[in-house]
Amino acid sequence: MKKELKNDYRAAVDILQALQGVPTPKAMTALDESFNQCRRWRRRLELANARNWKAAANDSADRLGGALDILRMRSTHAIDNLTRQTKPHLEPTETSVYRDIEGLRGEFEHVTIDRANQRITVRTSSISLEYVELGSFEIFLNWKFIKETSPYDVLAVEPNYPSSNHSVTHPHVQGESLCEGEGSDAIRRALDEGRIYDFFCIVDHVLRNYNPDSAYVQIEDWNGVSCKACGDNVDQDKVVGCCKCETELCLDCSTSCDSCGDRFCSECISSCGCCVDDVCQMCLKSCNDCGDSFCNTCLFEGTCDDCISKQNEASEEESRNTVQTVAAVHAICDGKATVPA
Amino acid sequence: MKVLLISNDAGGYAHHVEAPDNTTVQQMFERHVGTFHADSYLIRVNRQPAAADQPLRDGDRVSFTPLKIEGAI
Repeated sequence: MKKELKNDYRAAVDILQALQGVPTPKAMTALDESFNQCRRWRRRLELANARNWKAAANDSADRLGGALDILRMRSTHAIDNLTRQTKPHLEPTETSVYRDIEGLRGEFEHVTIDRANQRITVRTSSISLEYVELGSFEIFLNWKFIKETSPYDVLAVEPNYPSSNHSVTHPHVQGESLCEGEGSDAIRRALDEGRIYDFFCIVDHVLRNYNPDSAYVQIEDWNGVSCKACGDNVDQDKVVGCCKCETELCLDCSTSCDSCGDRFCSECISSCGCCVDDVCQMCLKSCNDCGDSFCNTCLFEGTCDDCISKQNEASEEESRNTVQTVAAVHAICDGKATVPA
Repeated sequence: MKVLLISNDAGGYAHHVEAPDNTTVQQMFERHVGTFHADSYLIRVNRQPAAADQPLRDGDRVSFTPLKIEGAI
């Protein structure tokens, strides 16, 4: 026990030394990242609209909305920070950092200090989001890099990867990096001020929340993929992507094109104007006469059956008229017809 | 009395504030953060759990950390 207290105090001294010379928090960096996110999603939305990819456009619009929301929030934080920079900055002391380590031991079950590697590790209790069990996470703070942008890693103890992506362990953790979202400014501020107790609490709370508008993998797709039409959960290897807009669907909600055999969502499949077979927009051709859309088998040399029938009727009518005219002329010539005086 | 007030909401801040003697945790919250929602915040006094009606003492460290902090990509 005495040894642990001594170790904690020495770690507090080390952390304080690492903290010395910490620059003023740079809220503007987060703001720049948000601008870039908004630009990225706006470009994707424009592209999806230009190509008429409805599902992709809807998705991009949702994500742009989320990015704009974060930009608005970060703008507020940036204004707050500019205001607060004029106020005195909290200066950590050896005692305050030591008390933080003590506090962590009360707040979390597993807290380890590795002075050789200048690392303090906290293990969260088990985390479950929307009934998906993600297990515990270890948060490693490398105090040697405490002044850097991201001096910590987040590692799943027993990862429950989503079936679609094995580099993701949590909707907001990829590799060992947490995307802090709303927590970014508070995390940076806590680290800059040496409030490591608050830092770990904030990270723990970010891990316990789920933001569906901005997740590497949506939690409903964790154990498969949610069919965008009926909402059923489908195994990753059984999911069907619409060949036009890439919307993910179950087999029942996708329709096979009777011409090319590719599968499409209900918005991207059409039907032949004659045989009413399901045909994709790539396989549909316009009739040269009426302009309606038909499958290849219902067109003969670019013309639909109806137009061919009409053409045939017209030519038969024309033939009949010609025959009648010729017969009439012959009758006159033979003197069998009455010629008006 | 002087209390170290920490709010880990939004941008996060920590500064010393003057408060009347016997100010409770809830009063401190309402004065500096907003309407009191004990179930939406992790409330700690000197890094220990605290009740809403706990009176604060000179030199206390009070922290309010929201339970809902959403991550993002």
